[in-house]
Amino acid sequence: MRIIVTAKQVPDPEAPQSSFSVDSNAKKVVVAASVPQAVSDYDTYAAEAALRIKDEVEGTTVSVLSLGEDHVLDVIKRPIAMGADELFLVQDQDLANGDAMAIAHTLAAAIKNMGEFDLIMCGRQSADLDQGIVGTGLAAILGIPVLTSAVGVRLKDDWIEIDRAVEDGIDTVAAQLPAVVTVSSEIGEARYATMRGIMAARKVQPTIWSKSDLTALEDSDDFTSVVDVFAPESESNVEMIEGDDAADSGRLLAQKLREERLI
Amino acid sequence: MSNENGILVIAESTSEGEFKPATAELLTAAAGLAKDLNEPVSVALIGNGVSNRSDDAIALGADKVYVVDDSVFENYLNETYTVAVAQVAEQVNPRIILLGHTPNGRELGPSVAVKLETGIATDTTSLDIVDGKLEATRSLSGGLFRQKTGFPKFPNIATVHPKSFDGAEPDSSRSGETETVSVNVASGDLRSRFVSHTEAISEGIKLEDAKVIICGGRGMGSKEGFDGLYEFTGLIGESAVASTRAASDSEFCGQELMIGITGKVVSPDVYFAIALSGASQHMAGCSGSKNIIAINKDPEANIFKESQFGVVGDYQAVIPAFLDELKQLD
Repeated sequence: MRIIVTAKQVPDPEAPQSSFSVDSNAKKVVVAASVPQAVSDYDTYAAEAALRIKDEVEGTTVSVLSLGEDHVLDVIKRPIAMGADELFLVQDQDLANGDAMAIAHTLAAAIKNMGEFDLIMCGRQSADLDQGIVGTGLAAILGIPVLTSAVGVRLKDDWIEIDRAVEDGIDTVAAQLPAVVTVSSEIGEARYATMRGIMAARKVQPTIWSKSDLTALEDSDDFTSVVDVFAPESESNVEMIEGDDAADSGRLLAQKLREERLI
Repeated sequence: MSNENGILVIAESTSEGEFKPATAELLTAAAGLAKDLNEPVSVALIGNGVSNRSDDAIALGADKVYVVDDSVFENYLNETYTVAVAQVAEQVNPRIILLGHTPNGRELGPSVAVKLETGIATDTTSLDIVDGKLEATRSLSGGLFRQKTGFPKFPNIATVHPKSFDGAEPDSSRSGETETVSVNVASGDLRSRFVSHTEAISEGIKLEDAKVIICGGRGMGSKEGFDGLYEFTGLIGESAVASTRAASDSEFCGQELMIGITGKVVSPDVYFAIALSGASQHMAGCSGSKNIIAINKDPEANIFKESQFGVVGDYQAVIPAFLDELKQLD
């Protein structure tokens, strides 16, 4: 079977907050050049879930698809180093406002270029925008079922069954292939790249497309617009409790909270 | 489409047959928008055996309830609910559709948007009307910044972050209309199915119901350190222990304790934030707390900016003294 994993390259979300600022004229977040790029972490969990199926089902191919403007090959090849087989990149400069629905349409067109597939696995949301639109949108555009925020995934013949966390427990739901599954971090740690994987990834030549190569992509008006990007006003009014030492501060805190009838 | 009218709220129900808190919150949001627009609020009530709850929706603020009641809608499934919502939307022709940013709402929203060929903003925290259109504000870069999203197309669809609005209080004197919508979904043609639901077995009080939450972060350092937090729950009534994603990922505790953008969203009276930095992804799950109390050895930690009271110090020194003093005061 063939599994397509979508992967987004993002500025490392663990970078210090001071590396991020707002360009209010361009209405976007600007990231310091020193911040390294990374694969959005939920997408690495999606790759992990796909590779577990590959471990189980002989003859499985895992194809990675990424859309972006400045791919760093060593970064975006991480899922390949983990064990995926091939890499497709759609390079497009026109993604600045992060209109997720437009991105879903572009990915859907790229997937039509990629040929047959059985399953698409996406991170449940991206590490930078946290919108969680692309996976579900992609399924709706392709006209196939979607199951989201998987914490467990099982292949059952030509059906995929997942567990997903809901407010009061776990729902188990299933979809007939081909389908889209979005994956949550609870699936379990993404495997490390092995030295062999890293060597193999070096040899993988990505297939690179621009938007004009995507014949299935129709022109569309914007789905959403960015009206403004701004930093929220912070109004800190913390009262620091300072004793002679940490233990004394702890005692004073207990007294204070009792005084305020908070506990 | 033209002559768009009003706000359509997609209601969600619990397995006990009540509205989820998110639905009452959406009705508060919708009431504000409806007032600005001078247009009505409609509710889509989808499920099996839900017809009799139409009055409850009206009491919470619906002017009109569209009931889709069929055994095929017993359990939420993206495939079936997308059809139902789209059909109600085509009938109502709303200006705005609101869904909760719940496990099901955030899955349903984008599917409905594709079906209705429009855009969506997810996990929004405030909603405004500008020139008859929605402007929805959401967090960016894990909460460092805000983005205001506009909608060139109708309907304008948004999912709303839990607890961004107070839940509407039922008012049984309100009146409204109810209309039954018949949605044809042939269950034999479905390409997905609901298999089962497993109720979470939670020890003690549920996080969402706790008045006091004690949350430990990565700085707890070990499972043993983290387990020490349970001593709070013996001393403070209606309290529960929670974690950050970093603490859960470090296996100090299970994932079900996780608070934040990918975990639970809570708004207790008191939130002890212990050995956690206050990353915006975490704050998205607890910023509705009435009082945040931070204990952290890093005086520069972001959590202090978000707190009412703070102690700088190693939790291993602060907490035993705090708990001892609490016992003394009892």
